[in-house]
Amino acid sequence: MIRDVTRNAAGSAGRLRISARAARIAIALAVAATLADASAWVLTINPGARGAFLQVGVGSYSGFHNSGGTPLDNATVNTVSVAVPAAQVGRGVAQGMTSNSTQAISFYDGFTVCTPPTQVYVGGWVRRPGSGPGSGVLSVTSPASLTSGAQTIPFTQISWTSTALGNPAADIPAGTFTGGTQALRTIAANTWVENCLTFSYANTAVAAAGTYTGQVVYTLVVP
Amino acid sequence: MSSVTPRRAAALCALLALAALAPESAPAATFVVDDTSTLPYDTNLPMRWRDSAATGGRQMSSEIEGATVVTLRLNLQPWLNRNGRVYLALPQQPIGVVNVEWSTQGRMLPGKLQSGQRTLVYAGPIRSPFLEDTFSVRVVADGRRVDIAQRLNFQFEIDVD
Repeated sequence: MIRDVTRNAAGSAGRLRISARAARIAIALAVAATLADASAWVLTINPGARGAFLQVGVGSYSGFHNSGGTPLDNATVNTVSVAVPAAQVGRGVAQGMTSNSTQAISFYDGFTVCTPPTQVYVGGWVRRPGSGPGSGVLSVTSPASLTSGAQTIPFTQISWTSTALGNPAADIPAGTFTGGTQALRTIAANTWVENCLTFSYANTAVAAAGTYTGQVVYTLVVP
Repeated sequence: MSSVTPRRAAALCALLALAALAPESAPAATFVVDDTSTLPYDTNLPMRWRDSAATGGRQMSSEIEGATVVTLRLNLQPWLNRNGRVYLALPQQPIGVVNVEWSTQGRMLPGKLQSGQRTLVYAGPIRSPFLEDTFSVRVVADGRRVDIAQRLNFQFEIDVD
């Protein structure tokens, strides 16, 4: 169409068309030069760090999580115990156990969730960047028996209930040690899970006098 | 094909010429600003998980945040002695919404933006070839969607009268 116009137009119109084309080219070059010169200021953001925190009994945190606190190592191994009166041994009357834990508050926000020494705090969280499976698995491993020299009491004699002040639904279900590894629950990424466990001894086993000990290990595995 | 008279052809050519020249003399146009003198120009920003949002319960924040300081230097030479409005823009990101907030030393405007938007950082006459300011920048993103490093390519744009 433009070609037809040019053919039929006066000479001045033809020159206009040429100058218009020249202007178009000049503008295109100028824009190209501007874009070539300008490039983007870059901020490269990195994923958040993977992490996990597990606390059983007494733990440590730098402040509280909701105000920027971070986990600290704490090597304390708390003890839960009961002294069964001789007259009660093996009679099937459950014996409440008590601990030497002093952990009452949650490091999430400082709220009092447990009433030690009766209750033992158990809590943890998982951090995982990205959209893949982010849940951790909380489990506990107990030996087959508590021992006192050659004498034994099955670990299945010990159970726990679970609760937390201000948290009507237990995060960690009640249960009984199995003498092996048992999964307690999954912990979804970016969720703080915590409860206070109250242990009891079933006292259905007749055992010789002595101090029976055994150690359980809580584990939080992050994929 | 319809016939065209010489007079009409001349008028059409004149219109074509004006149309071709239009971008250069348009009343307002947007250009990308050369910011290559910015320091540091490419910043690697460590991100940390944010403290928990005040949503109740025991939910932890899934957002990550990072902060840095950058000295921005914009080359406004091409628009010297004109009035312009300079914007900071961030294209939409594959990792979802990215929130950016910054404070300045006063030469440019403090502000905030979400990815996919632009925000005014300067408006007025351009009297010097370079517009420079120090930005304290804070970036917040969804940590569940950032599993590898992500480059945020910011861009300064200018609308000139």
